[in-house]
Amino acid sequence: MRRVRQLAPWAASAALITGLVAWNASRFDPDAFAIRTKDLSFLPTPAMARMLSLGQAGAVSKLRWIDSFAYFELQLERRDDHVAGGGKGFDRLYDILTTLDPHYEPFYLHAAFNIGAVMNRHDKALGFVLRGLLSLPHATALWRQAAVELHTTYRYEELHPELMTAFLQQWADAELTQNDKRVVWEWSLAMSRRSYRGLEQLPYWQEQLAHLEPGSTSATYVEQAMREQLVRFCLAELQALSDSYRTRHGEAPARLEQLLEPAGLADRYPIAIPGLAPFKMLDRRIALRCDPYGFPFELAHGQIISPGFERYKANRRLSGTNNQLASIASASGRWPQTVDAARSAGVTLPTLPPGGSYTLDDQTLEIAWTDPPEAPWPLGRR
Amino acid sequence: MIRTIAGATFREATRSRSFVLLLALYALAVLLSRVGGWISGTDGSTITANLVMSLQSVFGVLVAVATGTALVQSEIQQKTLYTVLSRPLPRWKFVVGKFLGLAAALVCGQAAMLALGIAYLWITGAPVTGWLAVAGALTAMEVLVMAAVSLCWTALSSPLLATVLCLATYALGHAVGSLPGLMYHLKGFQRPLCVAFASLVPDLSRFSYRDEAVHALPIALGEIVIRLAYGACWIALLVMITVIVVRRKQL
Amino acid sequence: MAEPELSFADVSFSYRGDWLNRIHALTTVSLLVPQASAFGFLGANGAGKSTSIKLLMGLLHGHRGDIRLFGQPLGDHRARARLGYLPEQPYFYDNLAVGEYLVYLAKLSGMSAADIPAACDRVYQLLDLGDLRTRKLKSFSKGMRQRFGLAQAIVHRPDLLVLDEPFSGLDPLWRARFKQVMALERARGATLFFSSHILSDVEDLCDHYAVIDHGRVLEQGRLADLMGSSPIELTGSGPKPAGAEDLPDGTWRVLFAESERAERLAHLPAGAQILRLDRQRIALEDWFVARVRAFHGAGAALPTGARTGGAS
Repeated sequence: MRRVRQLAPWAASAALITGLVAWNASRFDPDAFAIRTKDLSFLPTPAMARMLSLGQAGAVSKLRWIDSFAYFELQLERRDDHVAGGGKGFDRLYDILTTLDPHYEPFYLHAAFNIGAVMNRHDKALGFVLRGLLSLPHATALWRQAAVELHTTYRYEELHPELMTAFLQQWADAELTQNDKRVVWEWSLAMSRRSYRGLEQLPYWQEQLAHLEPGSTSATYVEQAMREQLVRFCLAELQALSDSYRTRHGEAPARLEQLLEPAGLADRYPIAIPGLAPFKMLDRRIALRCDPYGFPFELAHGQIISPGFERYKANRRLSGTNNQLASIASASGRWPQTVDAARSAGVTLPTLPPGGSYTLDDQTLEIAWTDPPEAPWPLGRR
Repeated sequence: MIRTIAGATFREATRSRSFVLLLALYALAVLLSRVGGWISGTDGSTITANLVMSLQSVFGVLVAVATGTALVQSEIQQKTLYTVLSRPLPRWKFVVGKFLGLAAALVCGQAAMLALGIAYLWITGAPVTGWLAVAGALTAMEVLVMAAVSLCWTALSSPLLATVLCLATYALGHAVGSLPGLMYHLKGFQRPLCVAFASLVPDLSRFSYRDEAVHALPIALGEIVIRLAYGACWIALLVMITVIVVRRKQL
Repeated sequence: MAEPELSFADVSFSYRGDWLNRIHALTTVSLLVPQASAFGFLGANGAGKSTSIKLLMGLLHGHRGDIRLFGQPLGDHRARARLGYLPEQPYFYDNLAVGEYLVYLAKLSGMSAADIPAACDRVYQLLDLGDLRTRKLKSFSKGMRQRFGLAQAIVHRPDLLVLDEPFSGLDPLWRARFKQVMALERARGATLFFSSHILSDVEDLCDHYAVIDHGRVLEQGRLADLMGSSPIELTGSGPKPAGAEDLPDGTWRVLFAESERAERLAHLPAGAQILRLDRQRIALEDWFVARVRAFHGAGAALPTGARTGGAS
């Protein structure tokens, strides 16, 4: 009995520690639904932020940056970074971060991505990149980022070739080795040779992708943006071939192979077929490639359909459907237990393309898809 | 005499529970600093280096404040001072010896922290340069200034109040470094008044070379000497104030 | 007369209390502690004993009057080096070992490195601290701290040993041991100056005394003179003289002063038989209470119902 009394506090302590550790660990369930609601709650002026960092500006800036990742993810969907008191959240955030540690390259690259690519404010994004070059004059990634902005967004090559050349010269001067200096001009040559036909933004996105961690939310966002551009380009090309067929034969093509008639191809591509068009060589003959998502294109009444793109669009609609589900659940005070119950409760479930079916995982509607028959297109990564 | 007191203070400080526990906590925090790098999606070495160097400063100051505030007031409250000051020992020697002993303990603690931090950075693959050691040395000087601040406050007030005042001085000491960037908000008499108040606080930002060191940005030898001399001057002033206060103190 | 080891001449000291009030801790205190004496400094709690000692040790300052140590002013470092001090309820650094601390304090007392090991061994032996020399002081009980306190006070063989309530926290065995050590120190030639409110200790050890109350010295002198002023107690049988009281065994007892001795004995009633003639043993504690009361006018009589000390 005495021994039991002696051991009881130890046993109780061990049980409490185990319980508390498990309780804490439960918050880190990787499968749990990620809440993308983090807002920027405190954005002082850069001078005030430096004052408040108490001499630990470098560490504080990194911790603030890491704490802002949830906000980045929120903005991938919301794309509205207005903050209370006026101004834009990203602009103020990167103002603070780059003031606290002006020598940390990822701040500028992320500013370029979030402000330029996500928020579509390329002037601000370019401003941050150029500010970064003042602190990091030999940072190749920043030079390349600035160059691709000037080339792609501001069409300097086309509109102000002398300014583009001067900028490239500055970049080449900043590079430290002869090889790197040469790469600058090779890059310029490659850019100017490209025939875009709606893919003008693709080098910009490739540049973004090069700086992102594979598998990260931001990288997934960029890959989606690139695939969307590619699929739109492919659909436009195939639709042009279909229209050409209709003109020549007086009727819409019945099969996709009919789009590959030599006359139609020669008409559309008098010099060469663009590298990113949906064609491939099969047994020394031109054949149709799958769409950028890995699905074969389809044809219906002369209209070209990309099943992969249809799936992508269905996925994007899902967040609205989930919002509707949450509103209905909030009004009725209970969550539906099945997809049919959700539909009966009034949730509008858009018709899915073939291969998809709705599932209800706890309180979230998801779509289960069959796998694509082929691998999605690889996206260039330096 | 001074060396004898410094030696005893060094032993007492390095064996105190707060000193050892804070060092252990520093080691744990250094190990966790890599997590920041992993979350960031970058290679993480810069973030880890930033955190490791900042931890040295923060924990160094905590050790200085925790140990420094126990120096004079606790000795009076616990009467340990009686057996010492009843000896043929001028009080100024007691104060100087106490500070030197504490300073030696803090320098050893800082050296251990720096060695551990740099070893960890090296093991985790972060680029390790000699500039990190220079930053560590300047951080150690910052910690010594804070030790002198804590010694001074503890001579003037109770240990608890001295701890609060020390941390406030630390915050102010770093804030005044940013003050020139905010001066344009001030008008008329506000500006000279602000400058006057700010000049009463040691500018601890002078010892912050940590962020530059992480990016391997060089610092001139003359600049290092000036910063160390600035710290030494503040230490001398604060120790002298402490001597004046302790000499007048009724025990 | 030889130069006194310690002298206070009209020493007054006050400190700031609440707001503007000043508290007068000592008022024109004058003391003379002769060389090689054992001086008991008596007083109730708050009487001013510790304040006097702190002034002497330089822990308090700002007094009026003159304090001299071995004939030198208080600030003289050579004089101070000849001083040993055991504070009341001493505390020490927690994380130092006994040996380290003793060496540290011996060095501060000005001892040369060569003399320190032998000096430490002496006090280890005197106070049974040899086995504890590697133990940290934070593990010490109150009594053990008191032992270490005495050790650090005598390690440098001081000429004047100032002890503030030295027996507090000690068990009877260690009280006796402390008295032995103090006797040895005295035999070595050191002067003892100690404060206490346990008067039997003073009675056992001292040859000089002073009484302080409310910051004033009420009385000082040789303890032998004080003891010599105690009344004569005459016990007898048969016819009673005037003023005698009956005792339960049928005898009687009368008390009279030394100066009345001859007259009282000459005028005993006829047939009265003297059984015993003693000097009554004065109880210092009762005397002290009476003395302090007398000073404050709360009863001036010398205690007549004092406990007796047996035949002598």
